[in-house]
Amino acid sequence: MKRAVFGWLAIVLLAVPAAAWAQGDSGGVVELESRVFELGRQLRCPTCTSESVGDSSSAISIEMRNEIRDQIALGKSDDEILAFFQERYGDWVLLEPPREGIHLFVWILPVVGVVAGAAGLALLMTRWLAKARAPLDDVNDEDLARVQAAMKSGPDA
Amino acid sequence: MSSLGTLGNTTLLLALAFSLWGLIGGAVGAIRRDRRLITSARMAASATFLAMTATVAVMEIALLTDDFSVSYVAETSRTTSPIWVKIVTLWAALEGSLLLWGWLLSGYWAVLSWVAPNTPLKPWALTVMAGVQTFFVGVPAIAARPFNSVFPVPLEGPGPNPLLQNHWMMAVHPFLMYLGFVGLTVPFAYAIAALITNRPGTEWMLNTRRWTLIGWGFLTAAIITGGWWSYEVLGWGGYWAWDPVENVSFLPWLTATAFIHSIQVQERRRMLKAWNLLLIILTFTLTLLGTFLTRSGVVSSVHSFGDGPVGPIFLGFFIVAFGLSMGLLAWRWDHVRDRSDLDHPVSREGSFLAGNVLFLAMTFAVLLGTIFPLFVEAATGDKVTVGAPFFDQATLPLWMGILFLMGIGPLLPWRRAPDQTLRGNLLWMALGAVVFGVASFAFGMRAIYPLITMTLVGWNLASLVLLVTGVVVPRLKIGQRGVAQVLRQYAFENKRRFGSMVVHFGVLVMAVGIMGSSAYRVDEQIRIDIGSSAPFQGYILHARDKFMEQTPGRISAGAVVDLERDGQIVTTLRPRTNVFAGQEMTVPTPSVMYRPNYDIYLNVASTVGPEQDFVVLRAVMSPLITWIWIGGIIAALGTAYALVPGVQGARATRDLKRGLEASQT
Repeated sequence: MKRAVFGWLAIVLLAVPAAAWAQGDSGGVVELESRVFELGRQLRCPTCTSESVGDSSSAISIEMRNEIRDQIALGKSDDEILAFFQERYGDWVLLEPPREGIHLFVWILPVVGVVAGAAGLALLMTRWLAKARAPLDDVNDEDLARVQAAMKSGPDA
Repeated sequence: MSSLGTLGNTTLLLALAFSLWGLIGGAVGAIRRDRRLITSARMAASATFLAMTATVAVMEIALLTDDFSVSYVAETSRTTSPIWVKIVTLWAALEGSLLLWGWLLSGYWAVLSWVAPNTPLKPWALTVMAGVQTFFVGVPAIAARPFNSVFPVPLEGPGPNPLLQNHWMMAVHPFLMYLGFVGLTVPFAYAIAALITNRPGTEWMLNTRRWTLIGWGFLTAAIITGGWWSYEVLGWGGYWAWDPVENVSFLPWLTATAFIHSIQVQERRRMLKAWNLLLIILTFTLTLLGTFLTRSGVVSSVHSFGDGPVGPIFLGFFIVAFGLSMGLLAWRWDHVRDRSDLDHPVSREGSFLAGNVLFLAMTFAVLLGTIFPLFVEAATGDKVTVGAPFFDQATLPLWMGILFLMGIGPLLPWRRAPDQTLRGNLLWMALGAVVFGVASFAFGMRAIYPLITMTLVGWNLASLVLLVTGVVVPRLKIGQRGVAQVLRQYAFENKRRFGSMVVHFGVLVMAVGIMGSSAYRVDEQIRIDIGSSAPFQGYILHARDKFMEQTPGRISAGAVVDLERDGQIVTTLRPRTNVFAGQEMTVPTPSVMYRPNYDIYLNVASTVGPEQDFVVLRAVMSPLITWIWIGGIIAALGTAYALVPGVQGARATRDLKRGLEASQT
């Protein structure tokens, strides 16, 4: 068991500095740019095929990121900035479907799926458990004869 | 009329004829139990493979000799491309990809026809392979024809999509992807054979155990290498964007992963017959559905290169394959229903069942998110988008559940968990979880998912240590041998089990990498005058120079950036943009400094013009991202190790042979 503890320690020593680093030295610029990226990742690049404003290198995405930067400088909140783009380009520009109207389906159905799966599994499990606990059915003569024959002829038959 | 085109068309039609014979002759032979017919249909596999090899060879010759009278070459190739690009142009667009798919499938089919054990399943399995093969030869032979003749013959072509020819991964990733898709066709074929012959026991999965693992391994490797390719070429420092093409490659992986776990439950406990059949049917048909979704243009994707007329054809084949499989399953329902029992929910089979639910729930969520915009547009006419934020939120809780089960499952015995051992194990694992969680918190991590991930990594590492000590310690006690020797012997004798531990360890390494790179990345846009410098994350970026390079067929323009840390130049990066002859698109080509603890990733945000005396860089610092690729390599090695023929495999084969001999006498 001591060995196990050492194993963990070794791995902690390896993994944790990296995590520690991850906190890094963060100045104001980095926070700003990270926020720009995060907001950009929630907006669809209007001219690309299926890329976000945060990911894309297209001219319009760079412009939209600049717009986000300006709006942050004006002290707007994340929601206000997203609403600004939603008003300009429509719901379509939001990569995270709003939790309202028809969009609710896409949010609710996965939860329904998990719950239904878990419930189905629970139901099956209770049934199987009950079966395991139930006494064995009566053995009929035919089965008994087969078992005895098998035992007589050995495992390799 | 081009001679190569004619030749290619001929060999392709030959392949179609052979695979049709494999289908019809195989089916009739299997129904009538006519040995001669079955043998003849089996030969069709090798014949198809030869014809497909010839077809692919003809296409390669046409590509390498710039024979623009062949339509596929005229549409996708270019004289100035390097030779390796010409070779891989075979799969740079739809028609050629289908040739590759058909060729690899015929290879699997042929190998299967040579090595598959002579069981009652074999004729039917080969027939199903022939059916799938007929489709994958028929599409390029009839609908998406690569060998059409072009007149007048153009002097030059546009070359392949620039995003593809910009990186050597083009030579690797698609190949792996098709090997994975095609590999998983084999267990599907056996599953259908099991349903037709009404032998839904474990025979079909024992026959295909290695094929399943090979297919799964290639698919896994393909997804990870695809991520690395995206990282290297897309320019934003990420590797996965929940793009439709990524999603549809991920769906069969999810069901296949559920499958390779749940077949073990059937092997050991004779449970889940119907469920396993359903899983492999889903896996196979999801590859078809995915191809339909991304090739028909109904969902647009950054990775869909060249839409063709094949979308509806794939939809048709998907419906037919799914309908027939489900029909068969319904027909045999009385024989595949589970009549088994469960001793205790806290057991190996219990944890596998729960894992299955999570994998399938994730499949459902990802599929739903991918096709939801289609439904909404059909219902209301509105265009909507379901993007990364949705998929992250929908899948992360499920991933956490899977990581939790991955730790506990392998430690639970089949049937019933003895309370004493289980309690001891759980205590150690909880300790591991707490140590990791608290340490991460102490080092300043505050976000909830990263903390849970680290906690679960601790949980899982403890579990792996317990698994290893659980087998090593008792063996040490009974012998004089050292730890290394005991471990080596265990690993040698239990290849599958040990391989699975290695794969799970790789998954943990990847989990850490995904956690670090997605939660703690730093992204900054920096403008630097050429000759001056700017700070970034403890480094000083010196934009030393700009450059412009011209090779035949390509122009690169970029900046030379020295990275300085603590007064020393650590490395020099050359982010650039490439423009390929014949293509208008400018392809960003980032330059990366790889480090185990973090990568520094530089991409030029806009092309560096000749008159320009500054450069706009997108600088990304991505913590631990290399761990993803390392974890992937570990997982691939683990899978390969589990595939090495071993004592266990030999034993299983021997048992199977005995069982068959017994059943035939």
